Amino acid sequence: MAGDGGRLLFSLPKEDRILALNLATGDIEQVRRYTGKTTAVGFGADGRLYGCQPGARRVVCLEADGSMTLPAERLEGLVHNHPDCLTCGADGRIWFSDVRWEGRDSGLFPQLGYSSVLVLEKEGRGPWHLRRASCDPRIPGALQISADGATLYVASNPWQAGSKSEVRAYPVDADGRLGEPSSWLELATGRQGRETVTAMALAQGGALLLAVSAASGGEGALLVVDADGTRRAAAYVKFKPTSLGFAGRRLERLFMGSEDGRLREIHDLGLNGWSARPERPDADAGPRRR
Amino acid sequence: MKRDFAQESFLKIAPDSLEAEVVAEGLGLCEGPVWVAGAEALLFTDLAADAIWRWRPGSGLEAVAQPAGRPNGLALDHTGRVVVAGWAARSIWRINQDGSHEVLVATFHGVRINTPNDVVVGPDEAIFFTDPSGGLFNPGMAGDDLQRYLDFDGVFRLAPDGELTLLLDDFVYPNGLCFSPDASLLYVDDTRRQHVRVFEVGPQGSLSEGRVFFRLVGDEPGAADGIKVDEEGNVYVAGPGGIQVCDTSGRLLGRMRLPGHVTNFGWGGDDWRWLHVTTWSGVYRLRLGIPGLPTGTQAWRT
Repeated sequence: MAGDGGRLLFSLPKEDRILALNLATGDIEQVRRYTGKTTAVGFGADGRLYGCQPGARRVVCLEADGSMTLPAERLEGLVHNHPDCLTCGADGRIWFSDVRWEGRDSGLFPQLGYSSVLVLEKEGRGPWHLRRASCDPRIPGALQISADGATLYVASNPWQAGSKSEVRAYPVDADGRLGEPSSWLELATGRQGRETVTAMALAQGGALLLAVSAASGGEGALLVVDADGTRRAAAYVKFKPTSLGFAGRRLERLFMGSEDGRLREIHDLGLNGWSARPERPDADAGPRRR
Repeated sequence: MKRDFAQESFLKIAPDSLEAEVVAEGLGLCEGPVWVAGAEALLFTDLAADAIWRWRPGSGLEAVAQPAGRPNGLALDHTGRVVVAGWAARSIWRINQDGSHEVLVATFHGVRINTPNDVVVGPDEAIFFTDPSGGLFNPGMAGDDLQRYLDFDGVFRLAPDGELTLLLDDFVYPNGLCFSPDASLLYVDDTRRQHVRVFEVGPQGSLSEGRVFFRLVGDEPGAADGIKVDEEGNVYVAGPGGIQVCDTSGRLLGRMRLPGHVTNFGWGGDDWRWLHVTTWSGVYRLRLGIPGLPTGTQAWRT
């Protein structure tokens, strides 16, 4: 999901489409088709929309003119693995979890032997460059960069069964290099099995919003956690969240997508979201909520 | 070399002594083999290396074009110019006699076409090509614009005057295509449906409704891909396990089991009996019992 002024964009990879919810009217329109099964999307600091295409093993830019470009194709000359989630930094970097799919090496381009966090970056108007950012053995899942770019939060991938389910915090230096991570939040194993983070969003002020799903059953939760790891709020829901996103002119509205194919608005949290995308005049905002 | 599903008549095509000789190996995804008579050379594409290679017996490989827009199928027109199904380039382009590259078509009614896969030149010099969208989503095969614009995976005819006509739009993944020896029929295979359809060719290259001609057999690695006919009209198609051959009625005559994942093939040599076969990693050649159809300046001569 990604806020686009007066609209919320959300991707339906199985339908190969991106739809937009008009926040003022409640209407839904198709804004993109033939998306290449794009999953996670996010606006970069350059105002462009980036998306993960796990099947095609790339992160693409869905340009405003309707075209689709590829910022960088190879990691040190090799086709990387399957992008799972992405987060865009205010410095222009695009971080994404790049997951190796076990048992899927029969194609022309063998997968890399590891899963990791990769980063797309460029100097000024130069070409994009792809770099491996993390080197630890844990498979990355949902991720979120902090507003100041100094911390990258990375959740364990739900596919990595048997390992501790947690969110790790990586310090990020001025050159975009990751330091050693610390365990920022551990998730429980409840009556419905291991809980994992399926999506993240960042609120202004630094609090992290985590969509949590249990391994089995149909329940989940929304956690609000301050930057120091303190759990500020928790809301338990009877569905499995899959995506989170703020929208609105001031990113004042929070939405959650779920495994049952529904899009829900989360009310009364009193939080505004953060986005790397620069603010812009929005002609589509419609009347503000009071 | 192993053969299976073989009818007795298959021995005429693939005798007991048949062996696959290595032409080139250690390459990327090879495609589009076409023999250049007179130059005694084989041209083929290498999508991974983004090249069009020329191979001459005894001389090895040299690049004809690199980078080449990640090309796929190749054909020769009647003057011997190389016509390219420019897969990632999303166009049909040609290498002219002076070595220059010329884009022949890239749009249909102003909209960018998909990723042309294979190409053949008809007796009237029209260019027929398949245009599946799958190339837009293949890992490692990127171009400058990856967005699909057309709502179909088509088969087109590009007339000598530049007019582009959509002939077929109901394939799931149109891939290889070829004419019968008398050009009265056009065979087109569908990689997803794993079958070959045949169409009668009418005036101006128009096509009849068509019918399913052959369903590929086997569940080994491989899918319906390159397709050609020999001078007797037998139809050869790359598919599971290697190359499957059927007669003019669509009856399976046999299957040639080849190493690697076969993508395409084409006849060549002085007598047009050498079948050059491209795979995911290289090129082989086989000496078959029935010649194939000449290409380029020797094509369509009665």
